[in-house]
Amino acid sequence: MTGPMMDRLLPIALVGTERSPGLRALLREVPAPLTGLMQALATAPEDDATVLLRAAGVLAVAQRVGGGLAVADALPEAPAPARSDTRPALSAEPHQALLQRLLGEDVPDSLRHEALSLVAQRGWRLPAALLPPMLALALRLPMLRPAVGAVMGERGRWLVQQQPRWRSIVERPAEPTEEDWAHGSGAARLAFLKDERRRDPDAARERLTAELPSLAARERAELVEALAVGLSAADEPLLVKLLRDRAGDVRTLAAQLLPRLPDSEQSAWLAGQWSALLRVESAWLGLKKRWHVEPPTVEDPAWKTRGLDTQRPRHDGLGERGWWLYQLARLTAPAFWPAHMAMTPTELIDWARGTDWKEALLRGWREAVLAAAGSAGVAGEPDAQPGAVDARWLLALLDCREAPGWPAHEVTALRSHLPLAARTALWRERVGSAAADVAGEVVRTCAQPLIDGRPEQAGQLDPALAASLSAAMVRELTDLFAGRHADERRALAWLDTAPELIAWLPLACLGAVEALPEPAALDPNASATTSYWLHHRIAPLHDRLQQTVALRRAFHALPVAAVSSSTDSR
Amino acid sequence: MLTTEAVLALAPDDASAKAARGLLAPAKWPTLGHDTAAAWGECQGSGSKPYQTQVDLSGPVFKCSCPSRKFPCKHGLALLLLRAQDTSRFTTPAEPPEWVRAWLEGRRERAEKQEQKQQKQQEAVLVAAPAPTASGDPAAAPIPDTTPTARQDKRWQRIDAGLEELARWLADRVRRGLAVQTRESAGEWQTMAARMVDAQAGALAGWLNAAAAESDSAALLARLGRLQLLIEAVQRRATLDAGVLADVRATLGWPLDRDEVLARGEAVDDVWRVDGQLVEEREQRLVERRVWLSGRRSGRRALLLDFSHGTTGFETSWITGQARAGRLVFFPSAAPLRALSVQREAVPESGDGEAPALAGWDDELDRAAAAMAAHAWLPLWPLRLAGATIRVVEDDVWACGDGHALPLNVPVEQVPTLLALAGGGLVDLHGEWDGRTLLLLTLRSEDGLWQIGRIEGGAR
Repeated sequence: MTGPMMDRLLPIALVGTERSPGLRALLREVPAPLTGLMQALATAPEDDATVLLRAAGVLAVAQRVGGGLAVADALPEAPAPARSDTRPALSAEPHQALLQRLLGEDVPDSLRHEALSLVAQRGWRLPAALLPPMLALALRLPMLRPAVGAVMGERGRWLVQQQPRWRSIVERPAEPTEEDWAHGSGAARLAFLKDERRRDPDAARERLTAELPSLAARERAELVEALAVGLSAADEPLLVKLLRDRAGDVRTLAAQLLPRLPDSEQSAWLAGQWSALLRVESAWLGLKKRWHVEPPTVEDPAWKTRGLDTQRPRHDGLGERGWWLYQLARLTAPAFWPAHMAMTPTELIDWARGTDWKEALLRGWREAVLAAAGSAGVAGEPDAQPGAVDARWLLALLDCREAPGWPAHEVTALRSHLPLAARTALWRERVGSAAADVAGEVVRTCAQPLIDGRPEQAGQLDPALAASLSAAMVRELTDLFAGRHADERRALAWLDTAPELIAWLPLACLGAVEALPEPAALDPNASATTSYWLHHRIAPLHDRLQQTVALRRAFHALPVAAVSSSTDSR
Repeated sequence: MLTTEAVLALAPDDASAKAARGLLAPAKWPTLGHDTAAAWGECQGSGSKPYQTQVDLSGPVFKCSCPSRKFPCKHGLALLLLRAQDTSRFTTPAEPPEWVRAWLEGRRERAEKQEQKQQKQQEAVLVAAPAPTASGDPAAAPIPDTTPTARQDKRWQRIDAGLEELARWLADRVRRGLAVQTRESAGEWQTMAARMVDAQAGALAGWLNAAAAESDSAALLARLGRLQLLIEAVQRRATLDAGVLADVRATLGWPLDRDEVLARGEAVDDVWRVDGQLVEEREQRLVERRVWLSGRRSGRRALLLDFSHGTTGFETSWITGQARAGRLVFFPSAAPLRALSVQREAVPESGDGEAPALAGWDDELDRAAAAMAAHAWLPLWPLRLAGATIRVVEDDVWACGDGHALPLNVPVEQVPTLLALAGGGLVDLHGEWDGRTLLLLTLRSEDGLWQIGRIEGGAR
């Protein structure tokens, strides 16, 4: 009531009392309960400006007194409260403090993942107060999303619904239901669709086909990924249709899936393309065959509907023809080449390195091999699907002399798809001579499955290799902490790698790390460089290693939560 | 026993809290000990000699031999954190080490001397005034001694002259129109604020600066209106009753000094529970701390207002949620709120304070309204609200309950934490009400306690 009155006083104050005469009349109109006061003010002898200020003062006090009378009914309807959690929160000390430490800057991501997975495994959930920082962390590090999703509980799911920017973090349900498909996030819908593909691929495809017209480009790309599961010739018509999708991501996905169908029309078309580009010559009286490759010379309008990306980035290292060749190679099934040219992957790579089109071919093969391994797995492994890649392709590419110049994440991805034994064999002989380099590769390879969204494969490490790597690390760190380091470069490599490696080593290896000596006290006559080295690199490394070990031990020692029986909602 | 949460709330800033967490490795603490009165430890720093860190648990009051200028330092915090996490690493000898005993004894002697001094002041008052009440009835307050002194007269003269000028300037602004911005008008606010400092009514400089910074013109007019009421109250100060006069003086920036309050203020003995507190950094490294208490028996609300410079910290610590018995002496006022803590019982860690029962929203808001009606310039009144829901509607946060919706003032980055703790259910809130918005200091739900951190100050 005083608010409207103040609003009527305001124009007079803004324009100035010398230009607006209505003040006294206005004051006489003030309704109860301030009528008496304002009537008195209306006849006050002072000038208008002073009277206005005094009236404003009275109204301001009245406003403060009546403040807080806003009525809750004016707000939109409140969201339903969170359902109560059946899992207990891990809020007792020292565990809450341990969880808090997972948020620290210098904690390896793999350790965070392991700790959160253990929290989930033992039946706990995050305390409410830690949900926002943990969700923010998951937003920044997509690899932690499944692990955070598994410990966020009902409260976390409720919170995610309140904060639109967090919706991408929601848990991928372990057993998705129709409910997830109807109302879930993109990730939940994808989980449902993949699950259905496993049970009934045709029904899932029909469900997807019916849904596609109403989906935005990003949602289409998200869901089409489900076709990778249980892919069969029956999916070909849909994939061919998707090759003409308006969204580039959808076209690329479809083009990457089609080569997995060896009898598809797309595969036949690609074979036809290569027949025109590859030519074989006989040398030495037909005793030796020699293959030649000649990239296309003009752009084929059909490419656009075949999934090729004909828009070459302006600064790409490949020329126009090389780009076309690369585009065709990346869409071709890796199995095509050994069959068509009767060469092993190693021989093919040797051959390509002798042509003028080495860059285009190696790049195309690398991407095709990674796409096939990612979507269909590696031949002979338990989870392999039709179209799985031959492990020899992975080995041949990794063995290639050009490999060190390729994007590091691609090399790591190739390595992470290798079966454990093959991967271990690659490293075993180098542990003795280049332990720091091997450790770096191991750390990146162990984490790669987290980035690729197949966390169950993360951290696979041969126990014997782990033991020899750990021994090499402990020897190196013992020297480092004692103030001896023979090779600066190697010491620096260990500074970065050791804390990460410790997060992956089996618990049996950690005792040796705990037994590492304290860094040697500084010689009073040491140079400024040595002093800096000790205080800012060596001592912090020692602390970080011990903290990593302590955190791992603490989370592994986490007790199993008592399951609460009360499921009543608040 | 202090929880990790309570210890971290004592940190002077986030950097200290973080540094303290980094000192929890067992290797860093060659000795750790505690008994019922104190905790101590030796912490290995970068030097050869370890730092001696000790905490008098009755405060807690910290002391450390490190050169840090922060108070409490990271070593003191780390010591209490270690104790909160695992007491098994602390030994309890029959006698604390000499360096701890000497410090504790020194503190005890000083405290006794201080208490004797206060006792004398109180006795002097008690001779002339009725005994301390727990009823909280302001009518029972001692009758203040109003004998003017020459020095006071002199100050009133300067204030009168300054306010006369201010009144003329204000009227002139309104006559010409507040919307009329001349090239000089921005500078005029500053000039007038400086004039108030010269006139020994320094708090009005802050009032004017806050008004000049108002973006909402209705809020600007409201501020100027209340300023006009203050000017007029000073003009007729001879007719004001003692409480209102004390409020006018406090608003001018001339509160009663400690001895006057002890001599004239109403003393209330009770068990005081800390509802919430706020440390606010103001200009020129001045740090203000507001601790809000409520009395278990009397139901009285009280504000302990302290200042410190830089990172020197506050001598006594109050821990939100804990209660201790003691005596408060209230500053005379028409709506008594600010108080001095003159005597705290030396019971270490009095334990979790059972909160005085929470009233309904209507009663709580009526009480705030009564205080703001009695004291037109009252900056803040503490609200304790039970059974609230937290609502976020677009960018605004609301506390809802009993059909009311109060706009909440919370740091935007804290909103997710508040929502997480509440989960759409009922929570208890405590905060500072300025008649427009509630600055949230404490939120308590089944899932935990949230407290506001240190904030950058601004005039409210």
